[in-house]
Amino acid sequence: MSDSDTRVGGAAAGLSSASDAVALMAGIRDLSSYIDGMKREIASVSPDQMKSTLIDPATNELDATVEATAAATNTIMDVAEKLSALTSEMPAEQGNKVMDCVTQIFEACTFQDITGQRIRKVISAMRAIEQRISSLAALIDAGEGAVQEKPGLANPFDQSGLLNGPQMSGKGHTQASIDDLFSSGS
Amino acid sequence: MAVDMKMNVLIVDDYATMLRIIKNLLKQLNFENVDEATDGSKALQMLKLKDYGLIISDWNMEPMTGLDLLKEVRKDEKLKKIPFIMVTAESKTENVVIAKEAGVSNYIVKPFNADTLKGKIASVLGAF
Repeated sequence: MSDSDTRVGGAAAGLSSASDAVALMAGIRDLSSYIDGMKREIASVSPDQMKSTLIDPATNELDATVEATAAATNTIMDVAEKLSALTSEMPAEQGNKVMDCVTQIFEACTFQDITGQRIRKVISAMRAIEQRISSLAALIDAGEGAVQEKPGLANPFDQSGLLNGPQMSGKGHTQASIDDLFSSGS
Repeated sequence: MAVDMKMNVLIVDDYATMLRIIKNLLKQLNFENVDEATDGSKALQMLKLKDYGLIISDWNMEPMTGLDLLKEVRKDEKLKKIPFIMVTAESKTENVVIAKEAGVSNYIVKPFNADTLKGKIASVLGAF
């Protein structure tokens, strides 16, 4: 039994038997081991690396989703407004029916506002989680690069081995640039 | 008393898409004069330059929220009687209570349809 165990044992003198004290000591050692393990886990998370490889790309993807749905919604509303204008050239009965449909299109477009707000909440939550992890890591003095990132934590945004999938606006190839590549004769 | 469809209506939302949707729905309801503002402070400036018969405002905006706009409107002698409908995705009871205490005329929860909008407008202006 170590000195520290003896001291704790002394403090636990009120226990009914020596076996209780030994059990208590074992419990404390387990707890200490658990805390050490947890510290190693937290230290293995590099907050800066997590921000650049996970959080930032994820929020960019979500921002792009909001932008894409907003653009699509505006296109839908452009068409709905044109339809609405055309109703003045229609017989009243047909015009009213078309106008009812146009109204339903506008009503349905409110989804964009709602989904945008929900996605912004998710982005805020992700930022909050990032800050909490950074604070926790700083608290246990993890330090950037103190421990290598765990190999099991695959980066879902690393698609170097795959096709690129949807690109952010201004990134990757446009259809025109692809067409140019094909027509260049190479 | 019949609703004056030529009255000036001010819609306030920081989201351009939502402004456009509400404006179109109001047009379907035959409101002819609809102005737009993208936050409470801009709306307040517009309210001081023109006579409005109805305000339809989002709650969540920066820098001035819909609730702050409502409070400013209600404490202004010239503006305090303008019907004010709050539109928001936040449907928590406490928010409704806060808006009610601040003097909101009615409250619409997003997403909403043309019938809901018409019903809420009718509740503050009378049937049309």
